[in-house]
Amino acid sequence: MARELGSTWAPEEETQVTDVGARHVVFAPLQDGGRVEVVARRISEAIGLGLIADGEQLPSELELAAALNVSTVTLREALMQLRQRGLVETRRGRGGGSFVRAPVDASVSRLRTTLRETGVHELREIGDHLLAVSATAAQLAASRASADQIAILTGLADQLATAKTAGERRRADGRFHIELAAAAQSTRLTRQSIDLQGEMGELLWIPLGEAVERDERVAQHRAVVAAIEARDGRRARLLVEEHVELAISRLIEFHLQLVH
Amino acid sequence: MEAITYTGDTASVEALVRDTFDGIDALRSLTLDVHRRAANEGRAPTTSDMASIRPTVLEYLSSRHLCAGTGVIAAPGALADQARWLEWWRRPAAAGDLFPLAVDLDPDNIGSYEYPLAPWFDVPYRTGRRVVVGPYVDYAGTDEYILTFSAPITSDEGFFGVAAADIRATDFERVMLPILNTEGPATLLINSTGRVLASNTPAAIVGSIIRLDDLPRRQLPHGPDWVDYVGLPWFLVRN
Repeated sequence: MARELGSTWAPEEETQVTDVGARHVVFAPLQDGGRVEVVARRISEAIGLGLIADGEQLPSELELAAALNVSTVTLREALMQLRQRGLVETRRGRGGGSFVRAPVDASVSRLRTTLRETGVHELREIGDHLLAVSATAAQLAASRASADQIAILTGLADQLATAKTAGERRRADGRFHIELAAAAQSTRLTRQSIDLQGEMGELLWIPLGEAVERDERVAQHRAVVAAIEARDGRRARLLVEEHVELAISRLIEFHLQLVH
Repeated sequence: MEAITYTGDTASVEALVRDTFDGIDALRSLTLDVHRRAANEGRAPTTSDMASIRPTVLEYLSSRHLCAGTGVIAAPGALADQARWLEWWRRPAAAGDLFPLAVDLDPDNIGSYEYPLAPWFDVPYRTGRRVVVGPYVDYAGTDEYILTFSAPITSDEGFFGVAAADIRATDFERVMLPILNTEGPATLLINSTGRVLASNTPAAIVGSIIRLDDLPRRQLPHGPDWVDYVGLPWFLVRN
């Protein structure tokens, strides 16, 4: 390996320094019991949001496990998952360790900037609007959706479940909310839903820094469809309210990490 | 089930459907002519070939005041020089000049017009049959609440696209109200999925879905061609 031959290589030269505050958040102790998936998700989100830059070296396993308040066994398994996803590579020998592998394209960088510059108040405003539009759409859809429209909504939940890229996930998720308003037979709610998805969708699905967890989101969508199918408008509304509130609160959390 | 008698002229429904499809058929055969001429030259038609249908589209729209929009929509890849294409003109809801439909045809955008998935496109494509859809929210397209009447355009080369026409739900309801007898008992005109097209009662308004199970209903009288249409028959229901 070229790396072993060259004696001048030092990790610092390839490392883009991120500000200490953000790292402080990334490597703060985990509250949720430190499951492997939770650890892997915390680190991959930080990579997605650019809080840990491409090429940057992670702290040693001991340090990282201690900072996150998880066992080294758990941390190693999480790193293994990240390695399998190609997000982290481990180099052996002098100057070795775990390094982040996350080439950033221009659009991701733009989204991070947008999320950093969109203030908490503005995110809350968008969330309030989304809550009003989507929850009402869900309630009305429960009494007005045709069997065809329920099938379309189910199809979009399936599409989200199998989407390969963040872009595909964003489209399937956005379409679901737009179809919900269309199933409510409301042109006004549908137009607003399109605008809101245009505004929010990309921020919710920043590659790796996804404010919504795909499987969780799919389960929520399916639950909403089930409520609509059962013609239970109140339940459909409640589920969408929870669904929107969760996404917005995570987005605000990410925003705060970025400005930290 | 009690026998239902209705006042009003239910034949007007049949007349409306027939007249709408007459206009669509004119666009269909015109498009087939364009297609045939190009095929004779051993090529697929282009957007400039298709420009020749515009006067007919405008004439159709000008002469039918109930029609909110009409035109031809090509299947992806049907034209030589553009992946997705439509020639669609609209009548403004208020007074004003006819204007072309402007839509985002880039399938990567969240607000793009994914017309190949729309039932008025997909059903004729899959079944080769005419279809009556709606009322529905035509999002990313006209953004209106409309009914769409659509017919496949199929030549020897296969499926080219559809010719179609829109009627606004609100206009449709207005012209249907006379047959519902606004002073009589609650009566609804519904489509084959149970969606209300017009009603004389606030208890079941346009766009709502009603369960058909134990309601007396009567299929509207119609000509023999309704069996060829997906989305028909429509029914009258006494609530």
